[in-house]
Amino acid sequence: MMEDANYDKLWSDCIPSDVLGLISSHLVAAEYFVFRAVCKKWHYAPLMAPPPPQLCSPSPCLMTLHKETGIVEFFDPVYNVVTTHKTGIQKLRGARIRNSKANWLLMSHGNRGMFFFNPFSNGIIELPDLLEEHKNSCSAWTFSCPPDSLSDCFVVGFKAIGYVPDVYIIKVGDTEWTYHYSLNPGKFMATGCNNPLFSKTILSTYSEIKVTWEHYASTKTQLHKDLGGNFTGVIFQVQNKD
Amino acid sequence: MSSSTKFLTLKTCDDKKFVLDEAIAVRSQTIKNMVEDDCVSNVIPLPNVNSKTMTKVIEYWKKHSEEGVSKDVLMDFDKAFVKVHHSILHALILAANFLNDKEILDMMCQEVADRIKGKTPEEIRKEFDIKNDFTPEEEEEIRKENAWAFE
Repeated sequence: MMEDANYDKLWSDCIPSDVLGLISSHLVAAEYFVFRAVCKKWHYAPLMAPPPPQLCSPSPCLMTLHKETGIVEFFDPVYNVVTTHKTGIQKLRGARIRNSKANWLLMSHGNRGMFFFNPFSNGIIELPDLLEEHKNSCSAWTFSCPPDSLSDCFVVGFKAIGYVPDVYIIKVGDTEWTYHYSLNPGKFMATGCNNPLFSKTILSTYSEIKVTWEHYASTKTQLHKDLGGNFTGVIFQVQNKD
Repeated sequence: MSSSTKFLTLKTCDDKKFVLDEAIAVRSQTIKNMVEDDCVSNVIPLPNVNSKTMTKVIEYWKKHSEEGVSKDVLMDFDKAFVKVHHSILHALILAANFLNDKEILDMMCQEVADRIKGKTPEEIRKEFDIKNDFTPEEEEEIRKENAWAFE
């Protein structure tokens, strides 16, 4: 019991600053700031701050979303650490990550719900529900730029069922999705449609008649041969039919 | 054992003596320096380390000096080694710091960091029996400075 009485001084008063520095050197990002908030000794010890938080970290982190709890985990491969981020956002439960750019994730929820989520600011930007008759059967989703950036952000979904993919498009801020599909598949045979990229966005405003995107889709068309067999993608252009 | 095996006697702050193969004892940089500088008389006093802690340290040294121990066995040993009450963790850190044994020190600091990760300041205080000596205003101020870290 006597020993118990002394425990409360062990880690605050009876610990050299250089040891605190060693301990904190194993902490990154939020953990470090939480560490500094524990007691005065830990707060005022002259420590080296860890590398900047993931927000401005040069190395990418692998993010995992736990569907049941909505807890977000970041694995930093440089420091070999996992940091946990409890968002407490109900909406994340059961949601799926579809794509990411800058600090934003494009996510789907249920059959028709789409939204953006920023795990650093906890910001959410809702998108209108998808058309009921189609549900969300898009295998690939992408967006042109962060949804809070100054330029227009377009969100595009691709549904590949063997031919030219059907395409869902919306400009962030608009109230309805547009749905494009091709009745004339020609010789195009897509074996899958994954990881679409915005290679170029040729458009001035959404209201203009011609809106053009380019994207890559996995395929085994003659491009495969033309490019020496090393290329498994095809550039695919989507044009607004208006 | 060859006849050239030298033994050192270490004396902890509670006057317990430990007789140890020099080859093992020099895992401590502090002891190694003393041996190299020839400042070792009969007994090396360790005024900052108690016998209970020294027993743990020597247990670690011996295990890690054994020949033919597989990596897996050592990993399991290390895992069990750090699963101790925080007061023992604390004593081991101070001992390793004094003995200048970077291996033990680093392992212990990693364990402390692991116990900190994913917790709130209050949970960390509970884990390590630390008193919150901030005023509510100070605490609020600290949280505000890096609010994102506490979400």
